Amino acid sequence: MSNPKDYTQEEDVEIYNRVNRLKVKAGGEEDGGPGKFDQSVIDNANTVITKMASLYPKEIENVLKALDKEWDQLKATDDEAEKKRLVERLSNTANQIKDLAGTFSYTLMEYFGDSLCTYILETSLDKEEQFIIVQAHVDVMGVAFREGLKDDDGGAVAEELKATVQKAIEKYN
Amino acid sequence: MNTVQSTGTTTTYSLSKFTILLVEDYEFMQNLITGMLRAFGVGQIIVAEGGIEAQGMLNVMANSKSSDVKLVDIVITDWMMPEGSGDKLTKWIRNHKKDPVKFMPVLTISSYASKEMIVASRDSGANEALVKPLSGEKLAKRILSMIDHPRPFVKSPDFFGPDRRRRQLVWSHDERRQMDPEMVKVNNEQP
Repeated sequence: MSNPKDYTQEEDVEIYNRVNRLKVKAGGEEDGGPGKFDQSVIDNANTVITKMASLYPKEIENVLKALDKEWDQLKATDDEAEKKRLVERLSNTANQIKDLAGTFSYTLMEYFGDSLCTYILETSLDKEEQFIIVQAHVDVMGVAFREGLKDDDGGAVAEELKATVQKAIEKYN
Repeated sequence: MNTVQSTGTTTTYSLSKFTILLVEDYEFMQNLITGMLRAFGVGQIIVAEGGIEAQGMLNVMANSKSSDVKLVDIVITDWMMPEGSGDKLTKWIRNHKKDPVKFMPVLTISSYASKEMIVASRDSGANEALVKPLSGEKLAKRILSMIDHPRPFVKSPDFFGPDRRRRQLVWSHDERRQMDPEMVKVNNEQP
């Protein structure tokens, strides 16, 4: 537990009570009770998600292709500035994979996207051993996509893929 | 749904007069979230591809003398973006010199389902945090919370943003804050 903060000086702390403009703009009265949305509005939003979910396989395929391309470029370059740019691109693409997979509950792909994104941010990929760990992520994401694996909490194949990445991290990190 | 209806004591809200700024770098997610916001009947949706672009937009809106240019009502921002993160954007908004920007409601969206992310979002000054996967119900709940339960803003030496305490808990340990409640300056905005 951190030490208590000393808020003993006058006006160290101020409270601002604001006019509730959102409520009035939404059609409520400022001092009225809680409102709601029409259920049809929420259903329509869920329909949008369902429609976009049908585009997931093609989109994730495109993002994985982009990841492969950036990874190949990174392995091939000796230019430090280019390397820095590609590491940032790779981190961003891993984040997109995490975002995309997480949105549609592809939790295994989300797990690997998150793991890769976090790893790149923490290490900046300045050692050769670290490339082996990135390669392990790229490989298992390719398998997860080709095998159509969705959940990370079931199935021997999913567990094996997670173990592959974990072993690489433990061995080479 | 563009009409406001009152049934008994419960008002069915309309967002047709709302302008929402969506800050999201990934085009696929932009399309998904703008589609959801359109389904909610949001009147105007503005998209920025990162925190830095959003800052520029908000500055232009805040400094415009034209009555045609209005500030956005809610900012919805992705948490992790290469061109200015949601964390930095929210802190920038809370440090803005103009009140309409400074007090702007902010909803962060992230696929980080961790307590750390929720705490970081809250500590940056965001009003609400939404963790993926997305659903109409989750988005409705967060927007309703901003409309129906706006928390007072707190300014302390190390924080400015909506009160981080959502519930009144019985605290059985020593009181950590040492300030006399009567020394807290309360500012009530006049309508």
